[in-house]
Amino acid sequence: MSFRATFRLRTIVQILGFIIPNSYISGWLTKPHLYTGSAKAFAPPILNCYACPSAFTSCPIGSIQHFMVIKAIPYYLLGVMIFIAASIGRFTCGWICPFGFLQDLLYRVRTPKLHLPKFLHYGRYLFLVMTVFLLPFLLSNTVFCKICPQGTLSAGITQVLLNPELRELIGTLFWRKIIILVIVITLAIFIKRIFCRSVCPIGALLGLFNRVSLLRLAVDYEKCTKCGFCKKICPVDINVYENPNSADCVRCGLCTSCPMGAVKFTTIFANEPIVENADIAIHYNQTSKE
Amino acid sequence: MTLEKKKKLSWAKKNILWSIITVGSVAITLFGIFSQDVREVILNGVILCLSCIGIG
Repeated sequence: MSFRATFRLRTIVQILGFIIPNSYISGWLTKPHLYTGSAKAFAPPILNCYACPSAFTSCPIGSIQHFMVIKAIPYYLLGVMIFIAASIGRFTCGWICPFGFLQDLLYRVRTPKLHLPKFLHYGRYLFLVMTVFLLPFLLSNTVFCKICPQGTLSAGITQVLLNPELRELIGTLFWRKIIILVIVITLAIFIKRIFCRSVCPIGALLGLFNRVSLLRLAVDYEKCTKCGFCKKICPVDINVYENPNSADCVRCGLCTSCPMGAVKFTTIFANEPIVENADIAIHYNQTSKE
Repeated sequence: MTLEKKKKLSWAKKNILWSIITVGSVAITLFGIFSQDVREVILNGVILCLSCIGIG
């Protein structure tokens, strides 16, 4: 599939990924309220706040924190997340997550662009361990929700606009969250998916399984010319030929439009063993020349 | 060991690991569904989530 076709298809799916989990329109009408039906028990691995008036599904991070607050192990949520991660890796980050989509849109703003320092990539693991598991357990408080910019955008601002009585309860937490949201939005204009790469706990959890997921990327090193096309179009700045199944990869598939046809989607059960590591490939090329 | 053998071994290891993770995650999910009142806990979380709004 050409780059343009992949890009368009992905954009359509991302729009649907924003609309479908947020299609409880009656939550906005007459007396604003939250949906509490059966679908709310499902938490797809996307960052979409469940306190948004139109949210049909739950946020996995918010729900995991709530389990930790009540000192219970979130077996169901972790099981579902790990199953999805083992099947498609971070595919949901690249194709469905509304906050990822927002960052993709923001990065399209024409400005000078910056690169994210390597060490900040580990930040998301810190956020996952500390703010989702450890601190909620110790402090009995949903710590990540208190800093989550997606919650501010889809739940905080909308709830305050829809419910006049909530406006009187606004305190420093609300304004602190607004500041965090403004900082994230501003940085996302200059740096590719900064939140997904350095903060998002869902991405951290899903990314752990990228290397062993059923759906994966493979590079044909005999076709690859290391032209850098894949890194240029990658929404998370990966050198695909160096590490196609990096924990950062959101499986957007844009790199499969490689002009040399060197990158493709495959499965872990592909008949031919997949050459993944550039070093092995270089060694392989050298030995085959000898 | 030749490179070809190394690749095959790595491929087999990944397949086994994937199978273990998948079966394990299904088992964990089912255990969670049958041992905890998941819906109740999640819905309580939704209702009490004032942090998302910025109040609390």
